[in-house]
Amino acid sequence: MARKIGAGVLEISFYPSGHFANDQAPTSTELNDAAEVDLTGFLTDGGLATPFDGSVVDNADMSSKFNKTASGTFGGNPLTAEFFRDFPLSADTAWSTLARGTAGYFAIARGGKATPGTWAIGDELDLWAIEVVTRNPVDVARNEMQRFTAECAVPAVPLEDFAVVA
Amino acid sequence: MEYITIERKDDKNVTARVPESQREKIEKSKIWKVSPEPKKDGDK
Repeated sequence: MARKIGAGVLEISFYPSGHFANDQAPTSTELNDAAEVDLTGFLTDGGLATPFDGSVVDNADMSSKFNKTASGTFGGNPLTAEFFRDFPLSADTAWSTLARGTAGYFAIARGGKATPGTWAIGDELDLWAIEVVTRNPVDVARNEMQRFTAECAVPAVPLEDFAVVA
Repeated sequence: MEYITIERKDDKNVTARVPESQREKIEKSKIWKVSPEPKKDGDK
């Protein structure tokens, strides 16, 4: 066991929609396929937000002054990720990959991989189906790299904490 | 930025669009291939 920061550890890749035969059980072969777009080097530190906000439901009744609640729904907020731009456009991998309307998956190895850069059995990941709603250039500022934020709809329940088994 | 259409090798009905700059990677993919260009008027 080890506590880890994200920088130098977390890896994120993008795959086209339809890439996984079963998106509830991605395989190492699928994850390492040449169609993988490794966006780790484009993601800004602190730039990834995968909200899982939940709602509570008022369940108070007259039997008590305590405001009882019950668990409600969760999710519903967009996934956002901030990436660096790169120039020329042919090198601007994140920007060109995440065009508006693009559907696909983010595979996020929060704890890294046994071998950085290569998926292997036992590696743990979250798999988020996403559809890019907008890619919004961050306001240009003096002494700051140019960046953009991809805001993504999440059309399915994300796969969390999956350990690659095949 | 130009984009190309790709399709799953085992199901040509599953398609996606990727940047032209990723063409070489897709050609090495075991899952995807680049879709044939649609025929233009006048092509035989």
